[in-house]
Amino acid sequence: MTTLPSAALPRFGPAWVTWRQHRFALGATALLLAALAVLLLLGGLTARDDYHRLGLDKCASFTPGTRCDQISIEFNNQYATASLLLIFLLVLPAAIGAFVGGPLIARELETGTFRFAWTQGAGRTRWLVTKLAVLTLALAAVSAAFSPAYKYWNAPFERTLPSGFGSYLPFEFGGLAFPAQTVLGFAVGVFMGVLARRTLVGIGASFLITFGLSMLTVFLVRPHYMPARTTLGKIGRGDWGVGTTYQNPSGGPVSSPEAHQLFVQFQAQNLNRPNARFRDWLAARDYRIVTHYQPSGRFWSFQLIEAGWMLALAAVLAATTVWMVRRRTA
Amino acid sequence: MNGAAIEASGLGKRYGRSWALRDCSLSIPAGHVVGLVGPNGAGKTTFLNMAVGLSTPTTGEVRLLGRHRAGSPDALDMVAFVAQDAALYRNLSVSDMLRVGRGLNRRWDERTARERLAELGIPLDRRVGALSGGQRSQVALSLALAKRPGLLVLDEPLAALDPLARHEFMASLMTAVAEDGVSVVFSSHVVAELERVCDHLVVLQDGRVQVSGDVEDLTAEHHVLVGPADQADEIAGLLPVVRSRRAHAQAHLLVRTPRSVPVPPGWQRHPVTLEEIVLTYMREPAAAALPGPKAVAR
Repeated sequence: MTTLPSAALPRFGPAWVTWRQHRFALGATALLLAALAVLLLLGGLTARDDYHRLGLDKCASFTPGTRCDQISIEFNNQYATASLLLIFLLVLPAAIGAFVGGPLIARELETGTFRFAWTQGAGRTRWLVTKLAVLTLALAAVSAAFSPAYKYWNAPFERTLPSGFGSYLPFEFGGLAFPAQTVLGFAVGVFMGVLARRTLVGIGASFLITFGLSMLTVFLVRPHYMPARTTLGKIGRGDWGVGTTYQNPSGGPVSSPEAHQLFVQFQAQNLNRPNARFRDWLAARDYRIVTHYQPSGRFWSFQLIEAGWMLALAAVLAATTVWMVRRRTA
Repeated sequence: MNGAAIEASGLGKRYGRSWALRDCSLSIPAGHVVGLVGPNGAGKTTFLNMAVGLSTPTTGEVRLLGRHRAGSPDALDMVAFVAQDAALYRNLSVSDMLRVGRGLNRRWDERTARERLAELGIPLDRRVGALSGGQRSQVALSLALAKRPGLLVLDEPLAALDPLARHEFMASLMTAVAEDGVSVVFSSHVVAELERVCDHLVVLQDGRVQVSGDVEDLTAEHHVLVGPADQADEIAGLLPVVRSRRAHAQAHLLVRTPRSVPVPPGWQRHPVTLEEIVLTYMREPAAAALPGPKAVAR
């Protein structure tokens, strides 16, 4: 018990302090993710039962108009509401990051306890770096452990509702994206907390920033991680269509005002024909549709690119936070 | 312990446009209990924050225990700080608080800390937030002493305590000083307590050091001279007068002069208490009682 004199800090001493101070936030996060995982696993079990009961496992393909297509539509409709609600899972990184990261330093500044923490022998840099390292690892671990639950739930739908690999939730929970986003959310939370010096401001600001950033990523940034390929035909299974352009009869590109013009023309000519398809109409006039897509084999490249820039940004924020805490004066 | 407990040279701290502390050069000897007094806003907390490394000086520097730069890893190992209102984690139990201290320090005397708390009857399983103000201060003091510091710095340790808790806190502090030989610097605006506990005194006024000296010297060198009012100006020309008060034909002069200087004929000399000396200086911002340059320079 009595350690006198000693040259080093006790092994895991600062880490224990981190655990003791933040075990509630970590426990609550783990509990929330565990509860969601249980819901997804139960939902996944039921979906599997229905899948087999409807005989979808015996379907080789889902060509439109066939019985297999009809029961797959029935199956998908049955779970439409559940799938829609799951979109809220995209909030998780921002929520967890703000909840765990926001108060981390801000509460110490607000209540004055930093005056105790920063005058201990370990010094404030060691104290902060330990907090950041331990909590980053813990959050990455619990968020990585959550991903399989989503995959289990989603497996039956991979056949009946095929989507490109970049589709929000399968991409989010398919690999590195969710842990990386959660770690980034945590770094944003700590940074904003130190900047704002107020717990609630830190939590609110970091939630909005992280959520805004992940929405920007999902809708604007992610499709462009690598230059898209183009095809005049249909894209393959798992390929991710990220845009459409047109080619005129002479093989040149069609500008977007021109394309709009064509579509208006198509609509005017086909007012009474609800089954008419723009694609066929264009084909009849020697126009062609060019689909821009990311081939399915790029899934892990995209995961690595996303995790890479998010973790790099998190590291920059963490370093800035350490710098701010080091030069902050009472 | 050799050298100065705290040695400040040209120390200044500016917040925005106003200086909280200016050109402060000061040597506080080790092995003493030093009181740092002054009105609110005089710069006491600013000075202590720089000494314990919570705040960095705008100008000058602070060295502790003879050599360590304030805020350096060595200084953090050797200095313990009890912040105003005992800034502890209120949601932790006393025993978890001890474990936090153990986890964050290279030197840690857990047994003595537990014995102290047991003697004071403070339950280890109680949350810090559920303790009384006096108990909380005692926990903060125990945590600080468990570091086995060479220098213990306390910022207004008595401010939030009732008279009984004040008395008990100072008793604990004095016991620790007697047992460990730790140097103590504490700020206070409770002037009445000082004479009993301090053997060195620093008065800060408006961001500057106004008085610095051993309590014995200060009380030995200050007297009140009482005599005819019409001779008061003549005396003031000969001796340094801190304050003069005239009532009818009589003048009361608080002078700073060695006891060896003879009392002028027709005048009487009376001793003054430390409290009176301190209050007088605080009322007269222009007066100063500083050691000569020899004591400050190394």
